[in-house]
Amino acid sequence: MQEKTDYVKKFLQHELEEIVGAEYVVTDQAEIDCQSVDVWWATRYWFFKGTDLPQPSAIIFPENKQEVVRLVKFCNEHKVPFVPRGGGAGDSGGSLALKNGIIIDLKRMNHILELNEKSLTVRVQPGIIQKHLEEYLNRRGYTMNHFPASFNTSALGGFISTNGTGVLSSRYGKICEMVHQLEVVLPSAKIFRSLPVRLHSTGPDYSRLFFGAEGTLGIITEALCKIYYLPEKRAFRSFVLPNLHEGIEAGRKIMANQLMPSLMRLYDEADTRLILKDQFGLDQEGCAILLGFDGLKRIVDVQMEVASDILTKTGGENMGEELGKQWWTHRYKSYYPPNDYICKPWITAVSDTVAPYEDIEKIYWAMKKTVEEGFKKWEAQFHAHFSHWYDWGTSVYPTFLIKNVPEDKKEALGLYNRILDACERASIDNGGVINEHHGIGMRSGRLMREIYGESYDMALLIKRALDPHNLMNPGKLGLGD
Amino acid sequence: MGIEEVRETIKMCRFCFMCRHACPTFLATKLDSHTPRGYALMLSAIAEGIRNWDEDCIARFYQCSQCGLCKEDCEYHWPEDEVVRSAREEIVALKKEPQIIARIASSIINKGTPYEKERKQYVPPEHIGKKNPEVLYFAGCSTRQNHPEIMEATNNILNFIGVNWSVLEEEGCCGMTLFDLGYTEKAKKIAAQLADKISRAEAGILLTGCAHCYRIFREKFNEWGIQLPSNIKVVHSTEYLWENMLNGKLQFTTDAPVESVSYHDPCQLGRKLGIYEPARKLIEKLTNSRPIELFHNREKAECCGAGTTMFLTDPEVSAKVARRRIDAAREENAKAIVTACQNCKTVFTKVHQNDIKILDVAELVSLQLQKAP
Repeated sequence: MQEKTDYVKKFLQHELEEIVGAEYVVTDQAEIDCQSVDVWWATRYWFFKGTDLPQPSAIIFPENKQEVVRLVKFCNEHKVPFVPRGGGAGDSGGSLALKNGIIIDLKRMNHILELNEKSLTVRVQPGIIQKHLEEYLNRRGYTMNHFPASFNTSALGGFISTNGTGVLSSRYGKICEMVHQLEVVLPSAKIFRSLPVRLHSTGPDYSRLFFGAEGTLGIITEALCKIYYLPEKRAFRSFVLPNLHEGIEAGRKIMANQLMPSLMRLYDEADTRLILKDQFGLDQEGCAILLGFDGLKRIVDVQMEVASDILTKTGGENMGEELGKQWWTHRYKSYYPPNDYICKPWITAVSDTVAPYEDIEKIYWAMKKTVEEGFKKWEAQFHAHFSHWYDWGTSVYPTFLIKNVPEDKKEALGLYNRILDACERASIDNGGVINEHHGIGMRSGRLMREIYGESYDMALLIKRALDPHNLMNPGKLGLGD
Repeated sequence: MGIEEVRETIKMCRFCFMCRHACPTFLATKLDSHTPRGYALMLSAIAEGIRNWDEDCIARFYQCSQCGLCKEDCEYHWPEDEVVRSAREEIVALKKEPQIIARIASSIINKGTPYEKERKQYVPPEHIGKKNPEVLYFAGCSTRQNHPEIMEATNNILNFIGVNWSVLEEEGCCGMTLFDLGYTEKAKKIAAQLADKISRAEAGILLTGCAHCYRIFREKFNEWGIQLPSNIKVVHSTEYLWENMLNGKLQFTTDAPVESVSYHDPCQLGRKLGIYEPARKLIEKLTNSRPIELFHNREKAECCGAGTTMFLTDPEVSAKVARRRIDAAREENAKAIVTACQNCKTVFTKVHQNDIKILDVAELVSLQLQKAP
C-alpha cells in the first residue's frame, strides 16, 4: 500500500478486516519486523544496519481458500503487491515484501484434510509446519520422508514454492516428487486444481509451474502428498574415504546400481572436520560419507552389504554405525546456535548446485578456487558436502564465509554480492544448475537470465500472462520489478 | 538483572527459527513476534537503537506464558524463557509495563494477592494459624481465590490421614508472580517475608498444591538466599499423596468416578522442576490404568495457557493456548484431564465444553477416599 495516503490506507485496512476479521490484519511494527527478517545474510544485515529494509504495510492471516481468493481480488482491485508466506525461514529473501504491499501469511491454513490409508496420501493445507505434519503421520504409522534442515521451522507451502529437498531425497526425491496434486489461487483470483494424479497424458502437468515459483505465480492452498509406511528398519554406516574424487565415484556407483540409499552424505575434508568432527566427535581426518537405508529389514540388510562393498573397494574405511545413528538422531544440530553461522557476525551463504556426474567435481573445485583464491584478501573460507544423489548426478552444498566483514555497509553488501556471484558463476560456467533447493528469491534473481539464456523469455511470458500487473511477490526469481 | 544477563542468548537466538514450532503462544496466535526468535530480534533492535519499546512490542513480552518449552526443545537449551522474563525486568525498570500488569503487581505487593477482592478461605477455623503443625498447607493465592474445591479436597485428605495440619493465618503471596512479571526485587522481599511466616509456624512439612509456589520454595528461595528452617520438608501435593498412598495412610476405592484419564504436566512442576511421576502413579492406582499420555508430555508438554498470570492479563491469548491443549486430549479420546496446578484447571475449565472433566489430582484422590473395613 505504498504511496497511498493514511486516509486511503485506513479504508483499505477496513476492507481487509472485512475479509479475514480485524484480529487477523496485523499492522504493528513488532510483527512486521519479525516477518521482514529471514535467515538470508542480507536481510539480517540490512535490518540491523538501518539501510531501509523494505517492509509490508500489513500482514494478513486468512483461514481458508475463500478468504485467499477475496484477498487476491482485493490486491488486484487496488493494485496492492502481495507476498505469500509460510514459515518465512528461507535464506534467499523470497518472502521479503520488496514492493511493500501486504504479506499473506498462510499459517492459519494448517489443517490436515484427509488421510488415505489405501492409496497412501494425505491432503494438507499449505501452512502446516512440516514437523507437525510428520508427527501426525508418525502417530498413525506413516511418514512423508521429507526431512529438510528447516523441518522444524518451515511450512509445506514453502517447500513446494522453493521445490525443496530433504535429507532422505536420494531415495524419496524432492518435494515435487512427493506431491500428487496441487490447488492454487492464481493472480486472477481463479482457483487452479491439477488432476488427481500427475502421471498422465492429459496435457502437460500444469502443477509443475508452481514448484519453485516462490509465490510469483499463485498461492498454494492445498496439496495431496505421498506418504509411506514407517520403516521396519533404519540402518546406518559411515566410511572415511581417501579423497573427494573417490567419494563421488563411490556414490555414483551406489546410485547407478539402484541401491536406493535414503541417506547419503559425502563431506569434503573441511566439512568433515567442521561438522562430523567438531559436532559429532569423529576422530579421523579425510572425506567422510554417511550412508543410510530404510524399509523392510531383509532388503535394507542386502542394500547395506552391497553399498559397503562398493565403498570398501573404493578405499573407504568402515567406521561402523554409530556416527550415522548419532547424526540421524541429532541431524538438526548444525542449525542451532552456536553451530549455525546465522548467529555469527560473518558474511556467509550457501550456493547449492546440482549437476550431472561428469561435471560435479569440476564445479566443486572451481567454486572452491573462486572463493579461496579470488577472495584471499578477505580470508574467505569454503566447505561443502554432497547430500542429494541421483543415478544421473548429485548436488554439492557449498558454504562460504568471510569473518573479516568490512565496516562500511555499502562495501560489506558489495563484497557479499561479489563473492556470491563469483561462486555461482563458477558453478554455472562449469555446467552446474544453481540452485538445488534453497530457491532463488531476491538473492540470485539477477542470475536467472545467465542461467537460462533466452529460454527465460518463456518464464517472463508466463508471468505476464498469469500476473499482468506483477503483483504476486514482485522482484523475485528475476521476473522483473 | 535485566537483559544484560541474557545478552549472549539474545545474540544466539535472534535469527534462529528452530524452536518456533514448539511455542504454545505462537501456535495459538501464529505471530512471529510471539516466538523466542521474535523476542530476541525485538530486543536486539531496541538495544541497537533501531526500535523503541512501543506498546505492541511490550504487550508481546507479556503474552509469553514462561512455560520454558522453547528452552527444552532447543538442542543447546538456550534459556529463551529467561530472555523474556529479563526483558520484563527492563520494562518494569523503565516503568513501561502495561496498566494491568502494574495493577496486579501493586495488588500483590499491597494485599498479597493479584485478585481485586480476596475470597474468604475455605478452611475450618481450628486449622488456621496453629503452631507446630505436622503439615503446614500453603494453598497459594490462585487456589484460595478460584478453587475452594481443591482446598476442600486437600483438607479432606489431610483429615483422612489424621495428621495435625494448619494453614497460615494470612498466607499472602509467595512472590513467584512478581518474579515472572519482572518485579524481581519486590518478589525477593515478599518471599523473604513469607519465609519468615512459614518459619514461625514451626511445621514439619510445608505442603502446597500450587506448582508456582512449589517452584519458588524449592528453587528460588535457595537462589535468593532465603532460608527456611532446615528441618522443614517442602513437598508438592502429588508427592505427598503418593508417599501416603505407599505407606498405607491413604486408602481408597478403585471405583474411579472418571475414566480415560489424561494427565497434563504443569510446566512449573514438570519441565521446570522435573516432577512427572507421582501424579501418574496416583492416577494409575486410582483408576486402575496408566493415564493416557497426551502426545506432547513430560518435558515436552505444551503449556495450558495460564502462564503465570496470562489468564488474568490476556484471557484471549490464554484461552487460545488452552483450547489447543484440550484438543490434544480429545485427540487421545480422553474423557478427563487431571492436572496438578490450579491455574491449569482454571484455564481448562474456562474453555472445555463439558465433554472432558477437569480435575486436580487432590480432587481425584479425595473422591475415592475410603476407610479400610
